[in-house]
Amino acid sequence: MYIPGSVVAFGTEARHVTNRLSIVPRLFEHSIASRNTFGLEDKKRMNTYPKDYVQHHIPVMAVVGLKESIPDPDVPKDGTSHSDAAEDRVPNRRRSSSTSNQLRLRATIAHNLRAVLNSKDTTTLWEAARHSQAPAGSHTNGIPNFRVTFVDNDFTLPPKKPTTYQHPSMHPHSALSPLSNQSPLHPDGIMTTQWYEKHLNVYPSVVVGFYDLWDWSMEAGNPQRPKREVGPLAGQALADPVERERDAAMAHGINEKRKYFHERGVKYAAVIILNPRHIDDPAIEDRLGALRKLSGLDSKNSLFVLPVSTQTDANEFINKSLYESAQVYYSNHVKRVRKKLARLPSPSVAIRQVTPQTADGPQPLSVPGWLVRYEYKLGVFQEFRQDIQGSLKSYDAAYNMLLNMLQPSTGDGSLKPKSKRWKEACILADCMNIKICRFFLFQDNAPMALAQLNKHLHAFQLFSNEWHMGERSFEYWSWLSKQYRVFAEQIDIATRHGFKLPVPLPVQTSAGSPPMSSSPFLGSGGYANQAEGGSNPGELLQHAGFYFHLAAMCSAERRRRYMEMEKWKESETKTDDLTYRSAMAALPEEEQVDHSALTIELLTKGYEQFKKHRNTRMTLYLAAEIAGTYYEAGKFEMALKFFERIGKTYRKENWHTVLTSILRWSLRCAKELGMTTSVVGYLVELLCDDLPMSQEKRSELQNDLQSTLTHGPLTDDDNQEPLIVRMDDINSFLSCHVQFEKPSGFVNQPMHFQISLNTNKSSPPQPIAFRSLRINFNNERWNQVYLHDEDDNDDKDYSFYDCTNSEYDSTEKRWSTNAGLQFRHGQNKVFEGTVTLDHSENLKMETVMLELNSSGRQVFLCFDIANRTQDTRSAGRRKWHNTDSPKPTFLKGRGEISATDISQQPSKLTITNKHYAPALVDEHYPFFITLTNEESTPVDAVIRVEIKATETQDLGDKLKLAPTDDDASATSILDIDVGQIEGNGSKEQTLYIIGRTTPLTRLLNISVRYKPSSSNQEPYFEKHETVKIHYNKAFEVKFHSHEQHTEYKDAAVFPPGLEEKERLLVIAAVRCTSPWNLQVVSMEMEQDQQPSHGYIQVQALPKARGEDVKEWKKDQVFNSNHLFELTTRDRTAPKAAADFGALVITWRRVSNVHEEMPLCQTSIPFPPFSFSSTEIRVHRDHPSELYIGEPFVLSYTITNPTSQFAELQAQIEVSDAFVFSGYKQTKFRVLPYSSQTFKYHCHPILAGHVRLPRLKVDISNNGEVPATADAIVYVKPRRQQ
Amino acid sequence: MSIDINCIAVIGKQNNPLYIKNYSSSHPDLKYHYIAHTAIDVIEERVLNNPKLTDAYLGLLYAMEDLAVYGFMTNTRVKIILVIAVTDNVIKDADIKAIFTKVHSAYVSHVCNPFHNLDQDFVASKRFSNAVDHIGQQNSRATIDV
Repeated sequence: MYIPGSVVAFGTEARHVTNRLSIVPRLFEHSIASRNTFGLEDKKRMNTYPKDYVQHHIPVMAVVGLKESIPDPDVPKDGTSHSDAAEDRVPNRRRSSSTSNQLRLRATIAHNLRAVLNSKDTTTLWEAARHSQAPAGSHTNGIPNFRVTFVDNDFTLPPKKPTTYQHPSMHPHSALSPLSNQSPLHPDGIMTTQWYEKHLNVYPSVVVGFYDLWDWSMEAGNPQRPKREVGPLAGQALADPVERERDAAMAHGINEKRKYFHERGVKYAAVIILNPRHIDDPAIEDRLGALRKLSGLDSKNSLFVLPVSTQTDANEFINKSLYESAQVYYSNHVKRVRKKLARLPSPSVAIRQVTPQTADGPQPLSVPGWLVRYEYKLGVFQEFRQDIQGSLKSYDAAYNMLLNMLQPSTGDGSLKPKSKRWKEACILADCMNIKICRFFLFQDNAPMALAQLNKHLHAFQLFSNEWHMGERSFEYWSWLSKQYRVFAEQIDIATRHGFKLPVPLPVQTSAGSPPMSSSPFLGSGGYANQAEGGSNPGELLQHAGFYFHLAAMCSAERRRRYMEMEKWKESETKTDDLTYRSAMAALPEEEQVDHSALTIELLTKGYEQFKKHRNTRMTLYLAAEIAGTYYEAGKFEMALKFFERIGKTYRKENWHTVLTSILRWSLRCAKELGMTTSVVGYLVELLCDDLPMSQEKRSELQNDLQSTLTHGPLTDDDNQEPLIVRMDDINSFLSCHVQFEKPSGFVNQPMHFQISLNTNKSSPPQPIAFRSLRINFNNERWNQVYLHDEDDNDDKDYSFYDCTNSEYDSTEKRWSTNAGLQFRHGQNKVFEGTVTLDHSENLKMETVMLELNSSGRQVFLCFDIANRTQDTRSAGRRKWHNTDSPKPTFLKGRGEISATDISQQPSKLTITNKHYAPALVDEHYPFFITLTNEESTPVDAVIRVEIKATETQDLGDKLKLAPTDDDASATSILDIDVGQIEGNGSKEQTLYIIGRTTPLTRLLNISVRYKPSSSNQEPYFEKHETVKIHYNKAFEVKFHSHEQHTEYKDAAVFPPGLEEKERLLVIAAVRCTSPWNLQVVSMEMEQDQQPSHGYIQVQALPKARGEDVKEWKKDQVFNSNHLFELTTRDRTAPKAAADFGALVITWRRVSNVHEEMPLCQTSIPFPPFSFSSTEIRVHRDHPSELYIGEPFVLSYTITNPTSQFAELQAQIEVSDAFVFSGYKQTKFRVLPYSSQTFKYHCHPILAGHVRLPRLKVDISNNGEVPATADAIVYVKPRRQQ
Repeated sequence: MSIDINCIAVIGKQNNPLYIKNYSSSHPDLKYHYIAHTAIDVIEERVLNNPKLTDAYLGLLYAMEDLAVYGFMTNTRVKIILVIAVTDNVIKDADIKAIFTKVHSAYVSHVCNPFHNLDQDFVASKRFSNAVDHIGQQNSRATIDV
C-alpha cells in the first residue's frame, strides 16, 4: 500500500497505561456503531436470541492508532483524550494549513486501513474456515479473519486477578462468575451475554499498534530539514540526531506496550507507517533496524513496515503471523478452563450431593451447572480458534448436560420453570442447538444436523408438557416456529456457502453417518437398516424452504392457540388447567404480536427458497398458504390477489380440487370486499361439474348466484357496461359447440349453422333459465338473438330448436326469434339458424353469449368462438344435429367450423384454343381462342395474352390482332376486350404471334377475366391457361464460296498497280425445313447500305435469273448462285473480310385456313467475303475436254501476291498418260504482285481417268509451294471424225 | 410392513391429475391434492438432474410436516405419487417400490382397455379404482393392525 503525503504523528504513543478498575465491560464506540447498523434481519434475530450467542466467533484483534479522529483538529479532544503526543508537539498556534492538510492525509490513511481491517461485520463459519487452518491440518489459502476493534492509544486490559490463593473458597472470582456478588449471574446463573462482551471487546487475542515514523515535515513551521550527507562516509553517525531521538522515544513506547501485553499472554505487534519521503531516504533501513532493536520486537513476526507493497500483501502478512498468536492465546484459555473443569466433582456424585433445600433464597450454582458453564466456555474458546471438531464436542457435552438439568422430572430442580435462570438456560440450550447444527452442516453431516434438531425439538416437546406450555399453548408453537426458522436460516447460509443437500435417490449410498447417539428421545437410531436400501423419511435434510414452511405452519398454529386463549379469556371460564393459567400469564405479551405478519414473512421466505430451487408448484402452494393467512388476517385484497395469481396454473393443469378450494376462498374474499362482478365470476365457475363438491353445496352456490343477480347491486363502480363472464377461460358448467354446415357458400344462399349447448352431467343442480342467446358475427348485420320462450317446457335430454325463421328487427338491428332457454343438468339443446348474405364476405362467428336473468346490469356468459384454438387432428369429426334424434350425423372434416366464406357464384366459362403447330420463325402465326359461356346469362370477358420464351431472354416476340405488316400495334402483352358473350354462346378471338430469331418453344399465357353482365361489381372471375408453342425455322442455308482465277494482266508494268480484284462465286443452298409447304415469292439479295470495310468493295455481278419455284416442300433444296467481285484499292493493305448483305426470302405458308396471310421475309446474311490468299500460289489451266491424240496446252501460273520478291524453282513430274514438252526443271523469279506462266504442250496417249503432269514449285530454301491438288482428268477416246 | 399409506395419486403426462385418493383421516383431500401437485416439481427436477436414472422408481421426493412423498414415473411420463405418514421407522425402498409396481400394473391394465381413449379425460374404471383402493386400504389397515 502506498500512502501519499506526509504523516503527522499524533496519538501514536501510549505513554502511560492507566489501570482502570472497571467491572462493566467497556463498549467501544466501534462496536456500538456496528450494532446500530445491523440489517433488518439481524435485528430480528437479536429480538429472538442474543447475537453473540449465535454468531460464529473469530479471533479478536485490537488495533491501536487507527481510531477515527475528530474531523476538526482545532477542537480539543474530549476528556478522555490524553495530553501527549501530537497535541504536545503541535501547539495550536503553530499549526499551519499544510499541517492540517497532512492531518487530513493521515485520516485518509487511517480510514483506508480501517476499511481493510474491518471489511466485514459478521463472518460466517464457512468464510472463517476458508481462511484458516482446516481441522484436518491442511492449510488453506487466504487471509484469516479477525474481528477487529479499534481502540484508543491508552488501551489497557482489565487488571489481573491475583494469582495466588490457598483455598478454593478464597478464590478471587472474575467479575462475571456466579460466585462474585456483583455478577449478574450470582448466585446460580450459568452464562450471560456480558461474558461475551468481555471476550469480544475487552480481551483481544492480539493487539496491533500503528505508528508513523517521525519526519521533519511533521514539525509544523519547519518543513525544511537538514540535508543528509550521502556517500561512502555517511553512516550511522550521520543520521539526524533529532530523528534518532524521536525514534528512540517511539521504540520505548512500543516496548512498554509489548511488555505489558506479553505479561497478559497477548501478543503485541507494531506497524510502522512510512511516508513517501522515507522511502527514498537511505538512512531508513538503519532507523528501522534501530527501532527494532530498541522496541524489543521480533522483526520477523511482530514489526511490519508499511507500505510493504500492496494492500493485500500487508494484510496477509499481518494476519497470518498474528493469527497463530491468536490461536495460542485461545488455546491457553482452553487449557485454563480445562483445568477448572477437572477440579469439579463428577456430575453423578454431584447430583447425589444435592440435598433438596427448602430455603427460600436462591441456591448456588450446582455442579452440573458449573460443568455446563465450563464445557460451554471450552466450546466458545475452541470456536474462537476455529477448532470446529473440538468445539462441537464441548458444545455437545454442555448441551446434553443442560438438557439433563432442564428435564423437569429427573433434573436437579434448580431451574424452576418460568424463572429468570430457567429462561436463560432455555435460550442457552436453543443457541447451543443452533451452533451444533451449524457445525454438523459445516462438516457436511446433514443427517446429524437434522438429528440434533429433532433431538432438541423432541426434548423440549416433552419438557414443555411438564412446564404447562405444551402443544396446547401458543408459547410452544411460537418456540417451535422459531426453532424451525433459525434452522432454515442455517441451512440457507450453509447452502449459499456450497453445502450440498443430500438427494434421496433410491440407489443410495448414504454418506457414512454415524449411528445415532444414544439419545433417550429418539428411540433406536434410524440408520441401522441403511444397507437394505431404505431410509427414514423423517431424517432427510431438505432445503431451507421446507423448514421455513414448517416454521410458518407453527406460526399459524400459534395464532390459532392464541385465538383460543382469547376466546377463553372472554368467556371467563374458570379452570384449574395449568397450561391455561400459564398461557394467560403470557397473554398480554402475545397480544402485541402480529401473528399473520410473522406467518406471511416466514411463508415468503419459504417461497423464495422454493423459487430458488425451481419448485414452482411448491411456490404456488406456499402462495396459497400466504393468501389464506392474509384472509385470516382480514387482508382480503391481498389474499384475492394471491388467489387469482395461483388459480391459473391449477386451472390449466386441471387440478380441480385445488381450484375449487381457491375459488371458494376467492369467493369469500370477493364477498368481503363487495366485488360483485368477481363474485358472479367465481360462482359461475364453481357451478362446473369438474370442481368436486357436494350437490347441496352446489345448489347453495346456485341460489347464491341467483340472489346475487337479482338482489345484488352488481356494480362495483357504477359501471353499466354488461358484465361478461368469459367461459373459455374458466371451467364451465355449459359447453358450447358451433358448426357451420359448409365452410363456404354463395351469395343469396341460406347458410345453416348450429349452436349446441350442453350442460354438465350434474350441474346446474336446479334448472336455470337464460334471458337470451346471442350469436354475434363479425358483421353486426347478421347478429342473431333468440329470446327465451316462457311457454317452452321441454325437459327432454335432447331438444332441437329451429331458429331459421328469425326475422330482422330493424329497430334493434338484429335477427330475432324465440327458443327455449331453460337448462337443467345433463341436457343438450341445439339451435339451428341461417344467414343469407347479399354480398360476398367472410362471415365469422365471434361470440356466443347467454344472458343471465339479472336485475339491472346485464350479465352474459360469453363463449369466445373466434379465438378458440382447436387441434383439428385430435378433434372429433364434424357433427350435424338432427331435429328429432340426439344422434348427430357426421359432416366432412374435423373440429368445428365457425367461419364461412360467402362468395358470388362463379359463372361457367371455358377456354379452348386452336393453332397449327409448329410455328415458323418470322411468320404471322395465327392463334384462335374460343370462349364458351356455359351459363344461361351473358358475361363480359377480357382476355389477356402474354408471350414468353421458355428461356428468360426477350426474343422480341410480338402479338397482334391483325395480320398486317404494321408492327406498331404489336406488343408482348395483349389485352383483348371480348365484350359480351351471350348465354350458352361462344366467341372466337384470333391473334397472331410473331416469333423472332430462334426456334425456341414459346409459352402463351392466356388469362380470361369475366363477370356476369348483370353485375356491376369489380371482382371478376379469372381463368388461366397456358399453351406451349413449338417453333421451327423455315429455311436452312449453307453457303459455299469459290474464288475465280484472275490473271495479272499488268504483270509487266512496273511498278505494278496496287489495285486488286477477285471474283467469288457463292452458292447458297437454301433448304426448306418447314413441315408445311411454303410459297416463296422471291429470293433476293439485299446489300448493306454501309460498306463494312474501307478498302474492300464488294460488288454483286449480274446473275442469270433462274426460274423461281413457287411452292417449296419440306427438305427441298434450292441453290442460288451469286457472283461477287472484290476490289481493293491497296493490295498491300492488310487483308480483311467484308460483309455484303443478306439473302432475303419472301414467303408465306401455304395454308388452307388463311389465304390472305401476309408475306413474311426471312433474311439470311451472307458470310463475310475476303481475298482468298496472300501466299504464292500455283494455278493450273487446261481445256475442259481432252481427247486422245489431240494436243492441248497445260499452263501453270505462279502468282506472287506478296510484296516480296520470290525466287522459285520448278520441276515437272512425268505422267504416263501424256507426252509433253516444256521446261523440265527451271529456276525463275516472280516479282511482287505479279505472276509467271509455264506452258506445256501435252499429247494424251491414254484414255480414262489419268493424272496430269504436276508442276512442283519450290521456294528457294523455303520449302514447297502448296500446289493445286493432284489433277485427275478424264481423257476421252479419239474423237470420231 | 409398516407403511401407512395416506394417499395414492396418479398424474398424467400433462401434469393433470388422473386419480387421487385419500386413505387417511388425518388430512383433508385438498392437502393431498396440493402435495401431489407439488411433487411434480420434484419429479421433474429429479429426472432432469439424473439423466442416468433408468428405474421408474424415483425414491423419496420430499417430506413435508409429517408426510413423506415418494415418486414413480412410467415411460409414458405418467407419474405415480405415494404419500405416507412419517413414523420413526425406516421405510425400505423395496416395499415402496412394490406398492408402486402394483399401482402401475393396475394403471397399465386400465389403459389396455381398447375402449380407453388416452386423448380424452381419464375416467377411472371401477376395476382400476378398486385395485388402487385395495392397495391403499390394505396398507393403511396393516398399520392399524400393528
